[in-house]
Amino acid sequence: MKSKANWMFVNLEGEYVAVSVGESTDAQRVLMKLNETGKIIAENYLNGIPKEEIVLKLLDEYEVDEQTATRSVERIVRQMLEAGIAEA
Amino acid sequence: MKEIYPAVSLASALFGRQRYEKGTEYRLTKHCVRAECEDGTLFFHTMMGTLLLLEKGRSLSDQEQALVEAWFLVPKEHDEMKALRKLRALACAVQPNSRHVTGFTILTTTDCNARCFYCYEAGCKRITMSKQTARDVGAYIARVSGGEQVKIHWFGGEPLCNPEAMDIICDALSKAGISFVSSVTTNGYYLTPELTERAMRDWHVTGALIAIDGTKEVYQRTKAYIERDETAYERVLSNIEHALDAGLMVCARLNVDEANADDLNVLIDELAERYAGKQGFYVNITPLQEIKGRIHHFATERELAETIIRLRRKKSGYGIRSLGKLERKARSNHCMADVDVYEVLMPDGRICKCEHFADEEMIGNIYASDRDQEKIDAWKKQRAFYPECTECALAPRCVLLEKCERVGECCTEHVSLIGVDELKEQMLLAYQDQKMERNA
Repeated sequence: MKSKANWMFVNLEGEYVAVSVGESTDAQRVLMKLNETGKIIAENYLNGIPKEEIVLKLLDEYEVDEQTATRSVERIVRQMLEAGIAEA
Repeated sequence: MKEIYPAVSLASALFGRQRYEKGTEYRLTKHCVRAECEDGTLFFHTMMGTLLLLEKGRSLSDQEQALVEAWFLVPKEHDEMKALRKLRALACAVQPNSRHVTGFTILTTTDCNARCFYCYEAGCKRITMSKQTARDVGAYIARVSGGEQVKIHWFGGEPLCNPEAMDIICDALSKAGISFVSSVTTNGYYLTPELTERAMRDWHVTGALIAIDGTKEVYQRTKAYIERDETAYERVLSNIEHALDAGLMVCARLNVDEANADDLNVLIDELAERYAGKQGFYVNITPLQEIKGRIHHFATERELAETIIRLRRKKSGYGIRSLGKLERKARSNHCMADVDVYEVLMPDGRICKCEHFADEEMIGNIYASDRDQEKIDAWKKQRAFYPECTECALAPRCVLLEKCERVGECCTEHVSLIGVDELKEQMLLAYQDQKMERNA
């Protein structure tokens, strides 16, 4: 999975923020905010795991129905594409 | 409500707008300072950096949604300190890692022509930077700054006791093509018109910080210049006037203790008569730091704070500003000591992180690339907030360092009283300046 920008996750007391480490303004450095589950989705997607498999992982890990898990994955992936963290 | 300044970008990116929920019980955030002005009440959020105006005739309850969205009103259970910790963690994470050092406090000498009783360097060995060391310092700065613009603060002792070192260093930087600006802390005695011209031309000095301890008699007694010059007071004031007319910024620092407080009241009148209206003249009024038991303490901290606030109001009444504009970003570092881009260079080429140095605090020297990383890291170690800090509006503007010798003064009553008063002045000036710009 190719990323548009160099970035990293910053753990802010249980919330995660993806920040760009490139040369940009403060506001541009904050790419997206995630909770614990969102971070897991993001990391898996960036590691090349297909969305369907990520959904299955969520179903294994959490007490959540398939529709909710799918929506979460779609949302996070969409945010990552919009933030330039990932490319389609 | 009118937004004078929005939230700073990082805080805005992290927290966004707070969602307003009707029926929720909200309270004013602890990180808010209010100041009355001619047009209403200014609200400043010390963490978000937002400055709002609640116009005259409007009430807080009318503006509840706007205040909630801007984080001025928060739910009862909101944890301001948790939010601050998150913002600071993010600010540290996004700080660009620079391998370059671009800020330097350079002690050209620890010698001085004054003998101020309150000087923290009294009794320290007097070392003056040699010409060779100055050349080496110039080369060092050119090497470690990576071609970026350099900021130098000349310090001492009295730095103008060794102007040759400043010539050599600046000449080296100019020849190396390094862009630089500088400022100087000086007693002003040697800041003659000729030296001012040289300082601005060759050393790129843009500003001078000059301590004035009282009117003539108090000043002469305090400074006790080795020149034994009975005209020293008038000489320094005249030098300041020339410097201002030449376009230099001058900040007169008035150090207050119980012994000189009344005299400073008279001094402010004298300074106003001479300099009020002159571009670039500022006055900062600060309590004398406790050094070796020589300070005349006020009976209570509140008395100290009230005295300083009274003196500040007096100088403001003359239209004289304090140096320092409204800082809207919450702090993530304390001073130069806890950031990698700054170094203090001693007259002998040793390097430390804090100008209130002790020999054991040296981290290396300009001749060797190795540094005492343990000491560098020790300077960055932040101590936890005091319990009282959770209630203090100024907490986002405070970073407490374990090693800082002044940490015990933090969160004392006089610090927060004076700090809030200073912040209110900055808020008012920021509002007035913006108003003038809009009307221009």
